[in-house]
Amino acid sequence: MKSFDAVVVGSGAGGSPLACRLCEAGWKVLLVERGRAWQRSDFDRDEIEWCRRDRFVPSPKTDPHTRRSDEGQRANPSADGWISTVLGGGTVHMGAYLLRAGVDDGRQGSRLQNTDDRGHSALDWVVPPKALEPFYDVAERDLGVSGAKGSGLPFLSAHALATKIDAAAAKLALSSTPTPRGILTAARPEDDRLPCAYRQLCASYGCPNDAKSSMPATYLRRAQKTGNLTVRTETLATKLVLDPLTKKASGVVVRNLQDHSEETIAAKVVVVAAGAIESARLLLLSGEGFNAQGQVGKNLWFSLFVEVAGFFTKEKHADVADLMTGSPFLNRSIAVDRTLDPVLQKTAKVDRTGMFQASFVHDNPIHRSERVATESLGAGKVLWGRDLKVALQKEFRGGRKVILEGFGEQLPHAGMYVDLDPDVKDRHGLPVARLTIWHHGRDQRVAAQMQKDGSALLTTMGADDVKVVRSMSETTVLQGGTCRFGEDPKTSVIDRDGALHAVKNVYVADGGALPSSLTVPATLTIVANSLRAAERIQAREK
Amino acid sequence: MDNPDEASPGAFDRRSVLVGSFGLLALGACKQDAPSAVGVTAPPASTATNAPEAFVPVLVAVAERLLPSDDLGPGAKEADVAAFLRTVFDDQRLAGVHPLLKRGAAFLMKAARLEGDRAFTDLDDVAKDELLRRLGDNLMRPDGFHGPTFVRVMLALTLEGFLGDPRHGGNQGGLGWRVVGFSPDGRAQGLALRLAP
Repeated sequence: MKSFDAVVVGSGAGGSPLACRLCEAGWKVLLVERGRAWQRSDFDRDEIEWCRRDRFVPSPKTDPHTRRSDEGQRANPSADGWISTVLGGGTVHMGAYLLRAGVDDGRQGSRLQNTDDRGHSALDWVVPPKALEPFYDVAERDLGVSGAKGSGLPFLSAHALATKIDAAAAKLALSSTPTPRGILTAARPEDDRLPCAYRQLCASYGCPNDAKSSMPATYLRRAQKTGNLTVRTETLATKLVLDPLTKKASGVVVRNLQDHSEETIAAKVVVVAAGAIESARLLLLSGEGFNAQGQVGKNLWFSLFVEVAGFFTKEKHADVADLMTGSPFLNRSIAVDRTLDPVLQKTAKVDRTGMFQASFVHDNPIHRSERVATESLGAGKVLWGRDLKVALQKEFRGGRKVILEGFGEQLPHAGMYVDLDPDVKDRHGLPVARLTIWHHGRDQRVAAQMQKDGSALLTTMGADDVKVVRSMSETTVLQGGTCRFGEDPKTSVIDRDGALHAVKNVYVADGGALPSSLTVPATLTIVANSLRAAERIQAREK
Repeated sequence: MDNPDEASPGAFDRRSVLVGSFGLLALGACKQDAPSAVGVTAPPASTATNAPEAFVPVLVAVAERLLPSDDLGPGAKEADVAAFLRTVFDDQRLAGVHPLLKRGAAFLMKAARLEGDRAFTDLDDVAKDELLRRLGDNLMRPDGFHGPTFVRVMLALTLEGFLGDPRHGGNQGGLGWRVVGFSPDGRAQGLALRLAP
């Protein structure tokens, strides 16, 4: 039987930083990734292949999740909840908004204690954002986060329209700040990375410059230099093995997806970092010993999604230099870490909402055209024929569409969870993850306030056709909560060091560890927490 | 939605990589129990007499109405969306929509015969548009598939053929990209970068 000091399942923002640190400390680490590895030379801009087929996300025909909106419903196959099944996970093609959590993001439990909101399962973080600060510094440096405190790199150059965002936000007493991005603004020869070339298409694609701070371009590259890392791609972890005598995990069963062979790999430590949904699924597939208190998969959250759009015509905004060209990045974050003022809290009935990322509408031409066709008429009707051509002409030639993507705070509750679907199996014969998703009433109020703020901002900027495109849904790639950290095994899955309460040498290092959704994207926090967990593992498992 | 198996016509996620068309095109959508309003029954999707090539001309005709050639500029025809559509039945990643495409095409062929006494491809543009409008507005209730979903899927494929990488067929010579002003090398046009203060 092959044996490693640690087996890490999942190579995204949770698994790779931790694997790198263990390798640097001399541990022999096996990194298991179900997807394949892509090289930077592969990263062209073929929208059909990268964005509309199954390169990043498995087909829901063969590897679905299932989704339902309450326990009484049949769950239907869906692509929802996959982050990315490639080496590096979602970091390979992320938009890379790498912001730190605010102090109050970690206090959702106590913040809501004296409110009228009931029926939720909010919990304060046992590892508060403050405790992650040194790890944020290191993560920003390691990743090369442009504009971040820890990196020393300047922000990305923003399009001139960003000045209108700043002015409008100031009028509305909202903050508007450049966005720290996991995109290099200066070369890093030591990592073999070039700076951003300001291509028109960025998010949803891998970067041929390695300017994007993907795991393969950062932590995995460094880990490989130690000689201590073994990477197995296209390999599926199907089960963790529990030693009944020691009550510890003895290893992981993995299946080679090319030749379908299966073997058990022995390990001193097992780290589960396959994303909040797939990590929960793996623990559930591994048997009751890994879920002693029945908490695995509970308290699922997603970043709450609200989107508001507005159009800036060439004629009306002729004062904006290079409106139709210029930098592809607006690169503004609105209302980061905002606590509503007391007067507004009374009317909105929430204390915090979320931030907006201001961007031009995604420049993928098929995607953009499809949005015009499906969003212009409403009521599920689609635009086609001459009317579609007129609308496309305006969309592409008449000005620029700006979208405000909201990352709202979602409230976890007992009705939102991951379990194993009793009826549906994937192509490997394993029960798939079933997602039960419905929103607590507070989410509606968060979304309502975000709709108002977003609409006001675009209107104040002088945009036309301001409309709420998505009133409330979920950014399913920003997921967590299913293995949350806490002191009490009755309400949490892992301890403050990241180890399962039930099995002390199994750690969870992805978004599943975080008890609440934050008011910013969680990616940087996942990296910081992963670095912290790596330290704790070394301290505990000497 | 009156059938949970139908993909939402407007569904999309935050990222382009997860736009609804991924699920829409991968999962497909056919239903079995809709009443027929015009008395036209679509044939089973997988009988030997229904080879894919028989349906492609109808799908091409549909695409050329969804994105027509007119005084506003070139459409599906000039970009050779037909070349892209000819590959669709060979792409197993699109297997989920193959039955829907066959049923939809067969339905339009029969409806054109019934109502216009000619092949769908021989109808004039007004008559083609009228059939597509009624199908897309769910005014025709064909057996075995959902009309609006057929139109929605055809729109997605038409746009893929018009604006996708020419290596997939379609978008001949980058015509679709030129129409919308998309820069295929992926660089910001003009590259006149200005740093906002």
